[in-house]
Amino acid sequence: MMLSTSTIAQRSGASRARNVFAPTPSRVLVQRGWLTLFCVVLAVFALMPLVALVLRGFLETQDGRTVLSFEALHAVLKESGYWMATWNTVVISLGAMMLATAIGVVLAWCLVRTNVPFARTLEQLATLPIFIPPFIGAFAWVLIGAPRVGLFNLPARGLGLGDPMDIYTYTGIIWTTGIYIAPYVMMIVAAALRNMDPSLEEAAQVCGLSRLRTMLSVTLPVVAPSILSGAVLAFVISIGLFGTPVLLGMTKEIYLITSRIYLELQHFPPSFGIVAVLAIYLMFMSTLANILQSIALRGRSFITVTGKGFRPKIIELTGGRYVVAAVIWFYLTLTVIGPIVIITAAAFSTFTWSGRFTSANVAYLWQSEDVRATVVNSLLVTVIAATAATMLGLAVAWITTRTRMWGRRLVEHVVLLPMSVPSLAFALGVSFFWLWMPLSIYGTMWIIIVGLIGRYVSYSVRTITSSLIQIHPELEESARISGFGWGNTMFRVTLPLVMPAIISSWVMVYSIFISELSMVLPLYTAETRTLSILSFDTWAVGEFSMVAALSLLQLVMGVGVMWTVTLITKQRQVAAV
Amino acid sequence: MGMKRASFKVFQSLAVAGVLSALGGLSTAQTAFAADATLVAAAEKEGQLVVYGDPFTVPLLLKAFGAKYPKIKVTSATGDAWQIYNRFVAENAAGKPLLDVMYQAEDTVITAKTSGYLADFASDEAGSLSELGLPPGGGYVRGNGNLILFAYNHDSMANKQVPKDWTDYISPPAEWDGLGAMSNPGSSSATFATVAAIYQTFGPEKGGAILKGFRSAKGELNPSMGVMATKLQTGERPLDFFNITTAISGIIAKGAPVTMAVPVSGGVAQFNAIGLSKNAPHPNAARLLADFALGHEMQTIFAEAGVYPVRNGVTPPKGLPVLAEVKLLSLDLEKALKDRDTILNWWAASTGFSYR
Repeated sequence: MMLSTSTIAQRSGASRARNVFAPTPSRVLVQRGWLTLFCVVLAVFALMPLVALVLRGFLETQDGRTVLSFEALHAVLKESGYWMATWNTVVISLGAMMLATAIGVVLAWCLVRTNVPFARTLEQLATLPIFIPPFIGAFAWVLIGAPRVGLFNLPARGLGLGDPMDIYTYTGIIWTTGIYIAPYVMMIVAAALRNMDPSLEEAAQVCGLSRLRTMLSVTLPVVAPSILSGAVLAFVISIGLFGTPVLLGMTKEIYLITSRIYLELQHFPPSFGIVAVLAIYLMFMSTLANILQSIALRGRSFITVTGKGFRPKIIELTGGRYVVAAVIWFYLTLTVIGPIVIITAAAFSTFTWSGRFTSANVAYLWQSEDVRATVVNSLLVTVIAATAATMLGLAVAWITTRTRMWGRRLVEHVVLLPMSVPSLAFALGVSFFWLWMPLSIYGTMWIIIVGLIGRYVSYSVRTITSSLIQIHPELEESARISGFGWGNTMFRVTLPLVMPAIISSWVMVYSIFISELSMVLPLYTAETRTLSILSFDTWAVGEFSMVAALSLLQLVMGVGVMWTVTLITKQRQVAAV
Repeated sequence: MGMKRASFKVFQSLAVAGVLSALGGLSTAQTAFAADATLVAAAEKEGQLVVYGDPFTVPLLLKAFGAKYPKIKVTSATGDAWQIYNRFVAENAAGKPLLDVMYQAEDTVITAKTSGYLADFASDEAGSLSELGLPPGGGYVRGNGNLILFAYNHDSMANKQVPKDWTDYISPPAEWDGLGAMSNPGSSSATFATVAAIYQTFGPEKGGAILKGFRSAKGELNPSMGVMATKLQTGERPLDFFNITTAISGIIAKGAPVTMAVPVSGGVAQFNAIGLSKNAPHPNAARLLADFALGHEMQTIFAEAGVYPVRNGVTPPKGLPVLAEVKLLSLDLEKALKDRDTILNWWAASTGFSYR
């Protein structure tokens, strides 16, 4: 199917376009029914764990009576350490967001819209960091950038230049976090660029604009919602990360809110009140970021896909394409290949760094019954949760962009709330909620799946929404006018158009789930133990070489699925042509 | 170099003592674990068991138990002791007690006991246990021990002085600057036991001077002993203020240039303890597992994996000092737990680190 672009940043004409979806009495009843169902599902998945966490934090039992207590709030407000943690969180997350957005946008543009050699391979390579568990990725950077022994510092030390790199700094944390998050931004922006009609850029160039000006004044504004969406996602992922700041920040006492939450939950007795207050801080930051995004996009339309056909055009960089490719290769060598080589070397070392190599750690992967069982659990949990989160995300995205249902904005806000809450705190909320429920899934695999969906469905919503708002409703209207029912329109028009975003969303949440540790930690049992838990337990007893081998396995599981999905997609595209 | 030789001599004499004690114990209790048939029948009728605890020893225990009693389905959760304990408390508070057996750091088991969560438990195997296996207050038993000692990377410290005693940290040499690491006593049970032992043995003033000295040498705080062990083997932080045998024995066995040395004033013994939940849904299976953990077969498996058995007659782990022979700092863990806030605040004031 050939499609085309119409406008950029035009004042919205979408209300006219949505007339076909205007409510009639019967439709209102159906819509209310759907909305009620969605509210129940979302409440159970996303909202109730947060409510349970907050209730547990602010309610106390005194003399057999349950009373409201603000002691934790006072404790957080009066202690300078929490203010410092808040400041650190803002500074580091903004830094990581800017870095990730810059890298993600440039990579997406170069790899999707230009004739850089091996673009597809480079794009797949660029997504690899998200398949490495953050704490392992951070540790790889410790091995590269730690004072005294970091591989980057060793030559400089040999030359008497001291340690030029110190990963245990604000810059080090921003760098490690930023390059981990950059692939998420790249995936979102790349999906938008693939949906963009290049005729606007052609028109700009016909009018005499240079390539650079065309990119700045045409391309960037068209994909602005995706960039903004990616940036907000990067910020929100960053404020919720705990592995990287704990590993890199704690040694220099750079505490973030998530580090404080982690410490509180490791402590006895834990103050769930403090955890709840800090989680609310993060929710506030996330909500503020989302509101700012909504304000920035309000009243503008970013529709780029309409009924007219187009074939995406690749920008010819002529000789410059090799220079661009070299720069990308250099970046990927530094941020992707380097850390993976480090982890691989560690996996084949008797210990880190012995200089002696062994296959024992890797052989353990297929010899151990623990590994086999946890791989099966990880795949089951990940595939079910990723598929359910993507389907739910699609439904929410469709409701918020394609209907005028009352309360649709509320649904959107509810689903976005858990985004900013650290996984560990959210998982506790999940456990509290299901412990209170008479019919409980506590202790089963389903509680992990439900927890993952609730915590991460917003990622799917973001990815799919940014693609849906680019598609003009006239395509769906045409189908409806031609006699298609709702189902036919959805399956034969809407879904094929947003399929790249749906696949992006699935791969994205799959990549998160396959290496997710903190969501699983408070919820697993021996029967539902995942590969991440096995890695964590192995790390706790100092066996880093074995942890490195397990990380390689996680990487293979992540990359293998990504390549399989890509291959299937490619074959379908070829078949369609 | 001198220190290395001294450490070797200590280890050598301890190893000899270990062999002798093991030979002496051969006659006492080498029979395989044989549980009461009625208990086994009752446990198999229950058919299930839930165990929470230590990530190193619990998987070993459940593997052996599962092989011996395949009719009992065991579910477990392992992890950081307090985190797991908080999970246990949350389940009880919600009126959904799931746990049958707690097998983890002793401080959490004592806390569970004093909070009224545990059934009073005296094992049928108690007569075969060493003194170390039986805590003074009773109500639970110890399942295995670990030692907390000095640990350093002998390659990185080759031309440097290494600590002989805790008091060496009061005035640390300049060459230790930026080399030391420790973990957080607020979250790590082993670290709390060590800090509490320093507090109780040396007193707040002298003990505080030791901690201040560690910090003055730019010692850093690490999230866990596992992280410290990794930095120890790479040489990034080659001088652990202390570390635990379970985190170090594995890398030493693989040839890492790491030495564990007993401080002159003594190391610290830390135990994993076995507590049975008062609300255990499967009390017979729980008791069967607890007795099995203390049997000769399981204690031997523990020793082979590098943790200290608490049963008489079991050969101690190879390459490690014999627990019963090692000089230990005095530690009254129950008292330390009563003074927990005081000790943690003292540690924070002395080191300048934050524990929460």
